[in-house]
Amino acid sequence: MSLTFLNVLLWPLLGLAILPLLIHLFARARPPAVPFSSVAFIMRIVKRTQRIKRPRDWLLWLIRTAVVLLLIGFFLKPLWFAHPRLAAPHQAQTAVIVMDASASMAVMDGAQSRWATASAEASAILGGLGEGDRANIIWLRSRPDAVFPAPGPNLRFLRDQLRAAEVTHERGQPQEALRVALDMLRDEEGSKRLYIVSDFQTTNWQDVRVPTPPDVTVVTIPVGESLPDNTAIRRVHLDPPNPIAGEDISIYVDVANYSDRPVEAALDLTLGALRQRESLHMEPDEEQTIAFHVAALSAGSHPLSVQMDEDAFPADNRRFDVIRVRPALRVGVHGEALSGMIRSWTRALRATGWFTVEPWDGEWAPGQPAYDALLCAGGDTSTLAAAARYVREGGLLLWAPADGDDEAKLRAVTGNDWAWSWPQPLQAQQTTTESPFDLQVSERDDPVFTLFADGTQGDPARGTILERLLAPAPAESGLHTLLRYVDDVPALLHGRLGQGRLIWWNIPLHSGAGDWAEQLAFLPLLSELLLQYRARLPLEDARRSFEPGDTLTWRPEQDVLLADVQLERVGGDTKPIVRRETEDGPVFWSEPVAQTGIYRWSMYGTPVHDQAVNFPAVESDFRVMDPATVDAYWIPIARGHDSVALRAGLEIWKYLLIGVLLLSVCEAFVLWEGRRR
Amino acid sequence: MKSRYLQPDDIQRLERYAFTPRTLVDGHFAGRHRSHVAGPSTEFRDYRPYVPGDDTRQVDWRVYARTDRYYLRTHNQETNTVAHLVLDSSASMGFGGKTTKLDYASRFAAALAFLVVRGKDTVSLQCFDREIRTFIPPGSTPAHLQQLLRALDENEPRGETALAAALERSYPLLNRKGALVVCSDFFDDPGAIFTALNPYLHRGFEVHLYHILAPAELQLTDRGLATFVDMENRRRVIAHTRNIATAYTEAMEAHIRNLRDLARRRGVNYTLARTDRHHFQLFDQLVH
Repeated sequence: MSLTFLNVLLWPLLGLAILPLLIHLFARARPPAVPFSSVAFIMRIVKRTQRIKRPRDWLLWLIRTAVVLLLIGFFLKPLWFAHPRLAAPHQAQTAVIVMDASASMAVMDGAQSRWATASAEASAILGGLGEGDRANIIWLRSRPDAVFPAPGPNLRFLRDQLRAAEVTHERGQPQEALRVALDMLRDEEGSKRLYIVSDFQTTNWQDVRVPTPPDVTVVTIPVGESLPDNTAIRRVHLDPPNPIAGEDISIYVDVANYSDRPVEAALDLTLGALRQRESLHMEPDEEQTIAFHVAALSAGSHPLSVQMDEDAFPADNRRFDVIRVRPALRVGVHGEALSGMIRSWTRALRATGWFTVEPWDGEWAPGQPAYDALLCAGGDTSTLAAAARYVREGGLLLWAPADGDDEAKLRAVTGNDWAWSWPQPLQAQQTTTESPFDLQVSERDDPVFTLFADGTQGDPARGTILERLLAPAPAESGLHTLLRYVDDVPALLHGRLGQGRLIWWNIPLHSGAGDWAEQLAFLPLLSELLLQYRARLPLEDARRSFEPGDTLTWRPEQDVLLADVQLERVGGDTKPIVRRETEDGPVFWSEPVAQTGIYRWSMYGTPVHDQAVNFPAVESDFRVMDPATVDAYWIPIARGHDSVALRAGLEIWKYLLIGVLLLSVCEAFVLWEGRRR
Repeated sequence: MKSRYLQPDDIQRLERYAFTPRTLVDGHFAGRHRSHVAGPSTEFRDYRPYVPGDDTRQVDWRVYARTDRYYLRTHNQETNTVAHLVLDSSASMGFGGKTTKLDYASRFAAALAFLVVRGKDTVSLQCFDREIRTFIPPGSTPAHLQQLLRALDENEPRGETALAAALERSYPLLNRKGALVVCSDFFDDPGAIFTALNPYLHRGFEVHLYHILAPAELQLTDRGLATFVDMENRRRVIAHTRNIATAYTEAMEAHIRNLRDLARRRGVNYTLARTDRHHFQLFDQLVH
């Protein structure tokens, strides 16, 4: 709090405050002298009554001094400021209002929505600005958007924009919006103020930390007090995430109850002609995952929707997804093309029809088109390091080391995650048909061996093996040895590495090394290894869910004209798109989408690609931040109207005048009471 | 006889009064006052035969020469009473407006002195403030009365009151007991006053206290806010008359009541003398 006085030249008037005391002391009444025989009695009486009168005199003096002070204060024209940093009565102000237009602002908070309240507050802030002030509004959405490129004086236009604006279903990006706002204020002159009008939704704001320049005052206006009952579908995910044709799929739906009472609801899955329903009971603040299981789907795009009973906020009660069922898994192979290992792997995988085998060039970086599995025979350190990066992102690497590979190669792949070590470089061992290296299954419970339980698919340990690499048995419990030689030399083991998995292969497949690759079990074992432990990382164009505010893109396989491509919201209207030429061919872009649903790209009138746009799950939890937490970072005010007083100060002359009148009444009462006695 | 305090009209009205103290005087005077014994005196009383033991100086040798018998001349002892007038002449006695308290007291004293002298008794006068300013020893002649009246005429109110001290100082001056008439406004400590009166009472004085007060002293005149200036010591106090009137009246009544109670307990005559009433009324307490 602070006080500023406009008539500072009148400060010397403060000296008049001593006037009542001087009058009290020196300007006492001089009544006429009356000679009297003896004043002893009178003095005694006066002395007795003085005990009552003296406090009254002091009270009168205090009242009169207060009256003088208030009168002086009245002439000094004081302005009261709730916060010193907000005081700027003589400065032009630049105000940037960050207006939260995220989805949570649509929720009803009593009689009106949080958005309506926020609009009123923002309008009040604009109303409090004066001539010469500049302002701008930044909409806090998934992509912050400002009305003006820089703060401008056209406040009327801003008010019009505020009236015309609508709340979206987009997620809020507070950090980005504040950054934009502060960038705008950086080069401005005078008093700089950043207003944040938001519900300060916990899920959006709890981690927001924006270093505020010292010359910018951040003022928060929280809206949203009540917590409406809300249940939401937070996520839909698949297992396997990237299914192939003929594979059974589990669809997992994460639901949450954000209300403070239990909820009974039904969850409906729609997948083409398939309908499934699950009932659920959720306790307050509980999250559940509901599973739907669907049989093998044909290759192609299969849109689905999951819907639960509508509640007070229906926007998050429905969620969409697209299951892209691929005809085959994509496998990259690296190694000498003519090596027995590569030839055997390639031949076997192509024989199944479930795998598309491609040569891998040994380079990989996150975000690049990914394989479901990489098969690597030998390989130099850099290739193995690239493969390791892929594995750590969630991929599957099947690595068959070469004779002479040492600890350095192992570390190139596993880093320090695996405690397995090779004191000596791996050395090839050969034997004769009379005493082959016999295999045995080590972990029969591993899912890979499920297929072999009834024996119809052969025995994975069967076969004659005449060569192997001599490697020490791993001691780490995290590594799973599937097959091992009878003398404990590992033959096939796997373990987790980052988000993915590494399968270490020590069974030679080339001719002359034995007949294990010719056994019945070889093909199913290799297939099961790749199917069970295939990559879980997003594959090319695998983004299934977009959010309102996102731009949808589609890259056609062939060059196509804009007129031949169309984007429509399933069950809705078509959306405008643009075509942009890139080095890799044309890319079609939509405008930011506003509604949730399935969006379908069509080429020549034929659907070619589906994309799902879903309500941002982060917006479903309407709980707001503790005001004290917000206060810790910024200066809060209750209402936008207060911003006027915060800036221009509250003129308190009228209160001073009222004070003078009240004190005058008090003085009259004290005087009257004294006379009455 | 000329005095501003004793006018011919007053003398005429005083014909009806006679000064008779209530106490029995020692002796008698021409039938006016009885006396217990005969004693040496200048006034002849009778003859009686000499008896042994008589003072031979009392023998009338002329009668012996004529009758050859021893007769003693007996004389009346001086049995006329003495009135000691003690007059407060401090500045406070100047209060009262046209007729001050001192004027009032002086008229009373003059009239009383007249009655005393006319009754062949003696009268003395003391005027005091803090000290005894004037003392006229007892006398009973017209000339003495004239001297006394002149002293009253010349008396002026001044100085501070110290009645108790004045009484203590006057005691050695009063050789004969009699009536002690004190006229004062008694603005002094009552306890000290009666302590000072103790020797008089012990010696047999008949003490009369005349409390001279102006009506404005008994009840304050409404003057609004006023600076009351003490006439004796010039001390000033500002007060609103209305604010203190009641309390003042109560305080003055308490003071009077206190004096009256003390006087009654000591056998002292106390009379409140208001200056707005004629001073002749005071004789009802003192003369018959």
